[in-house]
Amino acid sequence: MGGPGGGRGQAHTLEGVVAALLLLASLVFALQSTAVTPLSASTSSQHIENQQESMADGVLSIAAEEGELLTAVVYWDESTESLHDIGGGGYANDGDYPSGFVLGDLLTESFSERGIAYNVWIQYRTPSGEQRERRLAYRGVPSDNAVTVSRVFTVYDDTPLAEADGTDDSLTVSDPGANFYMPDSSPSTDTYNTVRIELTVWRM
Amino acid sequence: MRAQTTLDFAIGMSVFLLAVVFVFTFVPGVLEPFEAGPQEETTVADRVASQLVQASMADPADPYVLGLPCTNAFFNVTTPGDAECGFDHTADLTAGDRLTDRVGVTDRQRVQVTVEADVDGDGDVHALCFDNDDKKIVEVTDSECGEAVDDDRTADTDVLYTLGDSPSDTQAVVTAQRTVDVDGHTATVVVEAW
Repeated sequence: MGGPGGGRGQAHTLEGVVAALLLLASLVFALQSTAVTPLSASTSSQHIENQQESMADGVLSIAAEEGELLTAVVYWDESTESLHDIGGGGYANDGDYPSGFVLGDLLTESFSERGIAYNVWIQYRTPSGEQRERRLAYRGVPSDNAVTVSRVFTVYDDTPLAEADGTDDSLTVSDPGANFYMPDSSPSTDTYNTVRIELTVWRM
Repeated sequence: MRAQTTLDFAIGMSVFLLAVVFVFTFVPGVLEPFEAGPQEETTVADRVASQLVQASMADPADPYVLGLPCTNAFFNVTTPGDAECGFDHTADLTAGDRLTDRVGVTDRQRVQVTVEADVDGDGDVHALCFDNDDKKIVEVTDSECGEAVDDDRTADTDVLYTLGDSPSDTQAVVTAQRTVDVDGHTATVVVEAW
């Protein structure tokens, strides 16, 4: 210190340290303000969602082509008033699907074996026009990155119920003895109800 | 005292530059927009997969249900003849044309297309194969698929449902998948682009 130009011997070092601290402080601030997790949105997770959506669309298309979507909707046991071989509201566990529930096998093959979870809901209308939902298969609450695809089709008054092995029952959906879960939304016509089957898939 | 200025500048600059380097290496994605990423491949894989299962191998009115004539024609290396399928069937893979010509993407893009499933129920998923003797779908591990494995892919032989080079081990490879029905079996069409 002292002398000509005294006290300036460390000026550049101090500047360098201050500038470095400034940079590190902004980095810490930026990292604290966002949380980057493996499930954060990015182009790659968008790609995965697109693939899952396309696969789900394929599953519904194949099932619709083979008539298995309708079978799944009318897969009803009139004596227990539930879906075949189940007590509760929907199928929950893999491998427990009865033989006639081909949609379940399709879902297992396409999704369960790849670590993808899925829910299947059936939406229908009451005669007063309200929308109701019923679980067909349920694996839990979907994640934020879940994708949904759906198909809409019509059930008619003379659509037969499905037996446990997938064949047609002698009872139709509109038979009083069928105790079908879905009401006739249009009693004056041959149309029974318009059903929307909704498949939600997400990565576990 | 002025004699320390050079040393002072050197220390100051190196501390600052170290901090700059540290920040750039520690924050992933700062330079991402300027780096070559698999953005192009993402789109290519997705569109090729959609095109194959909705138009090329299947009837557009009946997507995801593959038709055997067009699927076999697609995986045949020679020109598949007059089959009315939604891809460029003049592309002859034995005469210098490549899979990219058949699916309509640029030559620099490399793709592989596979149809795979577990047909024999042993729990393992393998590429599929069309057995020309019995006119049915088998897995590539099946002995019925012999001609196709020997890569004898001329007309009227077994057809192996894989086409294109093997994917790169060193580059980013983007995969697109579709669930399809082929001859009553549920299978997966896998398109890999890199």
